[in-house]
Amino acid sequence: MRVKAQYSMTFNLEKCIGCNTCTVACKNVWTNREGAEYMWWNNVETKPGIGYPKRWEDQELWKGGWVRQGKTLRLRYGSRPYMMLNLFFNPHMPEMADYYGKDVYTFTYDDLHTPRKGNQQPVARPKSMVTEEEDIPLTWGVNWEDNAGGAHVTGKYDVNFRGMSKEEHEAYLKFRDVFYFYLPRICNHCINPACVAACPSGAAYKREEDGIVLIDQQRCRNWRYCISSCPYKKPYYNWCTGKMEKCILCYPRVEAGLPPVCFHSCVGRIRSFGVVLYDMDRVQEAALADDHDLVRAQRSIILDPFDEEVIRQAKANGISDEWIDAAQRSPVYKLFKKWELALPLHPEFRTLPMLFYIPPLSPVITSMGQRSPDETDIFDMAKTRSVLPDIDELDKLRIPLKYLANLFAAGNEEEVKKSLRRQLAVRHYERSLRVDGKPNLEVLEKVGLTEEDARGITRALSLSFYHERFVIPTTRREAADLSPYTERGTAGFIPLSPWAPIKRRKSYYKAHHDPQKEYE
Amino acid sequence: MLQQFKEGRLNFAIHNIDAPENHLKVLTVWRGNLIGTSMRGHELALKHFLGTHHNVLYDHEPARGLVKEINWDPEECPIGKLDLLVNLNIRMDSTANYADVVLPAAFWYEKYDITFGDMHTFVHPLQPATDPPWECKHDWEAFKLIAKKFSELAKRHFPKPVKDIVLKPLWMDSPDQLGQPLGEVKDWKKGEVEPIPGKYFPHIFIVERDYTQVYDRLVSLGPRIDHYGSKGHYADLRPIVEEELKQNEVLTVKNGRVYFERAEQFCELICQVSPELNGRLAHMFFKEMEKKVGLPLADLVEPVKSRRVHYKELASQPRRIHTTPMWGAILFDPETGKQRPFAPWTLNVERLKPWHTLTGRIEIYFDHQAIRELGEAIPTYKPPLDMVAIGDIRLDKAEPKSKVFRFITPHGKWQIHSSFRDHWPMMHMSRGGPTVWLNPEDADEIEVKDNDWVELYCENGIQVCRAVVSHQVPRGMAIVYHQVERHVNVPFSPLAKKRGCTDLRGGNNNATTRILMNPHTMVGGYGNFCYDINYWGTSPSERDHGVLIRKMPPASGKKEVIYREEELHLLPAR
Repeated sequence: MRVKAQYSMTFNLEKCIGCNTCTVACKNVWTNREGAEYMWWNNVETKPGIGYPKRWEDQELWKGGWVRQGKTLRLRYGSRPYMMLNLFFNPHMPEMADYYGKDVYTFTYDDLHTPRKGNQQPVARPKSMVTEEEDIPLTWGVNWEDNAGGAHVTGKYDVNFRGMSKEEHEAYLKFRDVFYFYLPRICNHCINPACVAACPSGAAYKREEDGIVLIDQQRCRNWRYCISSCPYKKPYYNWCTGKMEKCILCYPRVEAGLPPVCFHSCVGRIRSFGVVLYDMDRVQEAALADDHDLVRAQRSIILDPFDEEVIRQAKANGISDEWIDAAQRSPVYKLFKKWELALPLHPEFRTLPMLFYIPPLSPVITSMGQRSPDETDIFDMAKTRSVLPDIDELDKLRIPLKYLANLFAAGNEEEVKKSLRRQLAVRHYERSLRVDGKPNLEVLEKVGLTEEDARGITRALSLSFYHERFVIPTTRREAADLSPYTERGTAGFIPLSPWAPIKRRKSYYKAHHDPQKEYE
Repeated sequence: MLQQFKEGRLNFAIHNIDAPENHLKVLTVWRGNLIGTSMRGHELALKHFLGTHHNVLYDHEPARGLVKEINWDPEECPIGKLDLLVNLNIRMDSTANYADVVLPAAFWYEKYDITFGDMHTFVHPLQPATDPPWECKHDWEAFKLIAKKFSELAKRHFPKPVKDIVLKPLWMDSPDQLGQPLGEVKDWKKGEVEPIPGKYFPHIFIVERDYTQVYDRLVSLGPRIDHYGSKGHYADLRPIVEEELKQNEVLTVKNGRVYFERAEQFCELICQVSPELNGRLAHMFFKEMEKKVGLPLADLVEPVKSRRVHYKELASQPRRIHTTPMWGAILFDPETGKQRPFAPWTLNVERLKPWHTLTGRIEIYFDHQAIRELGEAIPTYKPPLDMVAIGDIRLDKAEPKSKVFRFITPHGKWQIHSSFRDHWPMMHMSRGGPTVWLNPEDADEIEVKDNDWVELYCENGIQVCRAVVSHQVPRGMAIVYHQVERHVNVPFSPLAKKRGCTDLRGGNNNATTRILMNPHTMVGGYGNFCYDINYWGTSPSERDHGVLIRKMPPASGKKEVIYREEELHLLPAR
């Protein structure tokens, strides 16, 4: 057992209202620069739909992620020689058309402020932010399919309907059986990141200490294999700097114990952030599991932070007491591992993503037609039944289980069922407390939860405060390469002796660090 | 005056609505996008109210012959009634675009102010993070400057006080509520009753206006502070003025009166004369209310009686309001000593304060004669208005391959009415400009595909936008989330060119609407059906209209749509 600590996340889709406050917060902090206009490190998609960039989930098209080859994994993109052959013409790479159709746009706002003679009211016209071409048509964008806009067509290309008949697939794209929900997406900061594996320059890396996946802006040579190989299409090419960029998990904030801005700004409080410990020795085994077993395998490498042996080994591997404490209080550990409510996005890409989604419950089907009215009026108070669907009535939920299973469990419906049944059971339990005045323990027993679990889930999913949702240990100062003490005054300019700060640093490091090292 | 009214020598302005002396002449818009957001019947208003370019399509007035008691000319309705539109604005929105004078206003982060909402219990202070740029002024400064100049000019034009007649409607939370027992509609004009003010007729007041004092009245408190309050709660503010405000370190005392000429002084004054932040005042109001409802209530604020929240304190950390009779929520539990979150009506439910209805309880049946006759007595389904029958939609003028839709304009997800939407990152949410949501089968019928340009039109006007076709939209429905401005990504309309409109641009989401007064909101003098600002009064229904929609004919040449005036020759007139 080799213990590693990793920042990880959960998004509760049950509560996401698709407001994109996260998206705009991220945009305003990180990507409203030249070259980054089309980058959305955080975006929220409406499912069903094909998302941003178009059809990112379809790996037949994009060749992202990993595939099994015998007893090992290889990048779906192809072998190393194949990659090298394509170095100057990478055929599996999204282009502007896949992000923004014609071009990423702004508007000619100046027209509103600059008076011009004419009879007609002025308007700001759409304009490309890259070429500055004006009056361009707008045909795609980061949130194009918001609230299922156009999804009756794009939904046909949504791979999550896989395994359904054509008739069934088409029925879900009509008003009678319509369903939709939101899928907020950031970089998954995978344990087995394909972007890192694919980078020919060694610029993409996963941080040892906390698992954040970054691209070194000095080493990046914009071969762009990260964007080809990332199955989530989360690295972006900056046309202005000629470097790849991606979500940095707001590491300057996280290092100081603050959640990333997309987490902080979430109005629905759907997001949790915490540390999990995992067993490095078993990563390959988990990434090689059979499709239906992928979720279970990924859960199995997450270690119990209360286990004496795990704690001993974590310490031996250099994980501090503070980080172990944070792992014990981690909301992500509870939601993903302990209660098994949260699921990874497309585990079949085999990158072991570390952002987990709690699949949404949905309204029950009430449409008339083939199904009898008697069967559908579940909210008829005159009937003695509960106002909640039964935990075994998941087939009555509007969002088909198969769809959620294709999205979050590589098609394994049992994993989704477990989560949804538990979510429903906790509702039944809470309702029994409030309405009947006595706890319904039977329903908890059916889904394998204790009362303590049920109360914990209620708290975690609907009542938890900021410090419960975000349990973030700060960066270990002693592991940092720079000492703030020696950095004093280095930002200032000393006209008569410009080298003084460097000299001081040199002398400090000579005295306090490696005697062989002349400069830090 | 009553005699003159009875004899018909005096009359209300509404009865002679076309007379120029009855038009609104000067309008100052502050903190609102009146032209871009609030104007139901936007194009009609552009034509008749502002007198500017528009794309109204009426060729005759459909109400001709239907109006009985109002003098009007259906052939020649007045055009351009307004003389001057002044706008204090933080941005170049539609109102600023159409205004005669724009006064640049300080943004939220450039001024002292105080705001409060009714969903939670915290008061928001605003403080300048930077000074307002260029000539921008805090609203308070702008009004002060206008008032100062006005007072100065008044010395020449109105050197002495002038008398004015003010009519006040039958008022909420006053004895007027019992004005019309049994809710019977009786018209004094037809001699059914006597025009008794406060019963069947508005109150008549003669007020004296000293225009030379407008500035001083704006920036000082009083003189009528012995009857202070609103919503039926009144108290004598003099003890607070004498014992607290005149000792307040922030406020100024001049000529025996409290002055607050600087914005931060005004904010402090608001804190001190609000029962929400001044415990003594809340206690006084509760004491008054106890007399009315005959129940002990002042104990609710006994623990906060000496609490005063100052503006400076608001700036230093968030502060909550305490319980007041102005809000129906109990915010403090005297037994546990804990604060409670905002939950409406707890005062009525827990302390049995009667609701402001005739029965004192929540009502779902309204027995007023007019409400019953209009079928609104109980909350039941009413079908939408037939916009074809009432003339807004003319099927004989419909373009080929058009279809009638029900038209609603719910709140949008990406904006607060028209605010915060036009900036480019926000325009990347959804589709980047005005859109209408349609069902796929409806779209097929008019040969529209997702993201095609369409024209929404009826006699009231034309809107040009793109279609978002989605299977989540029910059939027959056209949904435009409000509020879209008329000036971002709005091209020219071929239909407007064909019909020879003076404005060839598509309008906003109110282009196809008009003000439809809901007659049952005209009821007054009967319990809770009494006028109060923003509570009860005649209101328009703007969310239940109808439109025709067609696919917009493409421009000639390479362009799909035409935005620029110099390319108007490429716009087809069909």
